[in-house]
Amino acid sequence: MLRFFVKTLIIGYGNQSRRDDGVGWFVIEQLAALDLPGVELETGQQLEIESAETISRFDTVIFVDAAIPEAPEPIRRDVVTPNFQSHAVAHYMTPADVLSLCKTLYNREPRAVLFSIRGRDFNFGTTLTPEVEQAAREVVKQIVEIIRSGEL
Amino acid sequence: MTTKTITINPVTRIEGHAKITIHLDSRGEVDDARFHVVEFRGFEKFCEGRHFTEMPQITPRTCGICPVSHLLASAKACDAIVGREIPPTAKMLRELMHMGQIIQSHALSFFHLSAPDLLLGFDADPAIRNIVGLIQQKPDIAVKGVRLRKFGQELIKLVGGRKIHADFSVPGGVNKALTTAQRDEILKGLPEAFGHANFALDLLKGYHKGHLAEVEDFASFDSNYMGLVQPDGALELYDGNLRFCDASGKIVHDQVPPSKYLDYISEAVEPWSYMKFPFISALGYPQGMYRVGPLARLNACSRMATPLADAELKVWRAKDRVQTSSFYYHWARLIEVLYGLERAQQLLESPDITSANILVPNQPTRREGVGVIEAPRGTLIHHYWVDADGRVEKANLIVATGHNNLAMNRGVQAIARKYVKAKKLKEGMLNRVEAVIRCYDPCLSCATHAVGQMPMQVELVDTGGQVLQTLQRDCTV
Repeated sequence: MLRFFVKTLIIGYGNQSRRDDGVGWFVIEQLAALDLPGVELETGQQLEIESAETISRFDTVIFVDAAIPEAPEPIRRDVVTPNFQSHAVAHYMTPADVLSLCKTLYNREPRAVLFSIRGRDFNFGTTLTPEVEQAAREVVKQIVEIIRSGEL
Repeated sequence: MTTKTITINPVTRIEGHAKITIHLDSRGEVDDARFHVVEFRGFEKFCEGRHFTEMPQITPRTCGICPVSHLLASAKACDAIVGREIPPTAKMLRELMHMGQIIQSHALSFFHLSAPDLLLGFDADPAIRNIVGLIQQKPDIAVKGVRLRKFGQELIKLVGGRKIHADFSVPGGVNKALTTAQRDEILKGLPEAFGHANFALDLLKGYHKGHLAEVEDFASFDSNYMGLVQPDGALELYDGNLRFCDASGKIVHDQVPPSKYLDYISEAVEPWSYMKFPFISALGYPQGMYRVGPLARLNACSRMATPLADAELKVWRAKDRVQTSSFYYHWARLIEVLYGLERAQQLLESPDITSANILVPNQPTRREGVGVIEAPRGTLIHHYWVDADGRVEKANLIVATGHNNLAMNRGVQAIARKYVKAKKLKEGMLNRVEAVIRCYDPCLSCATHAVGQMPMQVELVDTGGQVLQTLQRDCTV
């Protein structure tokens, strides 16, 4: 049964001008074509302070980001819990930072998962490497399954 | 003589990837200090071959933090290539959007980056010395910061259509008029925003009064200053001409047309940094070092162009005409927030702000264009050379962090000499070194945001390259 009643936000973020760093945007574009019910999609260059307010309005949040080439797996899927890091760059925030800020400011703690897709090329350019595009399509499938089953 | 090196890598709470090294002599005293920027800027090459009308969409992607500034500077450079004056309403809408950028960026810098240091203490546990710690201990202050930043962000969104990378400012004007409903919505939020700005100013002035000795001496050093001014010398953030003044406030060059910047600024190169080191040509290198940004603008201008901000400028200048302590960056930022709010109100109350006359044809008539704007962090220069078809042959972007490069090094040296002792590496000391960098709120995000997520590491290294001591603060990867 589809869980239409669960409000889900999917955020793909990164720099589209840095090839594989824009993989989060690619995933969002693919998902937009599927017109998933109960799902809102958002893209951005990075997570920010205001992201805390945005996610506070949802039950489930799915983050999609690029990972550094040294990451051990092509796709990593982590459940995220609030955890503000003292050293965090406030211009740039991690999903755990955003969840922590959301909990502290709005007393809301949506369920969250982060998909990290290992990038290969972060040089200037607007296309993904084939390997990363393939991984992105796999992430789209996994996200659709999350929406369908409601299981992170 | 044996020399030790302390490395702080990366600097926390700034954008991008950078490190600080503090070089110690054999006595454990600071010999030298450098703020390294290790990312290579390739963005200008990336732009070559693109049609100039694409530049306002491409260049904001340099940065997710101040995209509005790049958007506007780029559009102004393109206007120069078009060779026509844009409609007055288009200019007003661009400036209005710019005020939103100034407000939100300065609010972020003060409330979220600097306030934890100031209000929780430099020596507070790093685990709580952050925005969440601030919310937990002083929730009212943090929420005001969130609200003020949100006002600026919403202003940008209402004027431009999006908060980040708004498809709004184009060569020849803007592509979206402001509706009366949007105008009224922004105006409705102004009283609360003024309240938060004045609250922050009172807070900062109280801190200043209570920590006079430290703040007056905080990374204080003489430098030259640069900023845009109006014809009568009043502060200008969107348009105007360049003014350069020296450490005493004496004007070196005045009313320099932005298109002539290359006649007045030169750039030096150092082997240990990818960033260039701009200086005032007439004064030579490194004597021509200058600062840009809030402190520099307030030192350079004759007055603020709005009444409340001008009254605050007089308080800011009460002790001296020119402020040299880097702490005054924070204070200047808040005065500019007040200016931004007042200026936004002036623009919104103009009957022309909702006019639909916002765009002129944008065919290229010139082969070169310069656009200059005062971004939150300082003077931002976009300079394009195009071929007869309008394709970019060469682009030169000078960002605020580049202008401030030399000054940040001087600031780090000043603070390191005062606080860092080789045999006692205390968190509070290191944080003060970082704090001086945060005064400039540098933005180095020409790099992918994935870079910089590394543990903070402090190393003591001798001249032979041997690591004598390592301190590390873990972080999320």
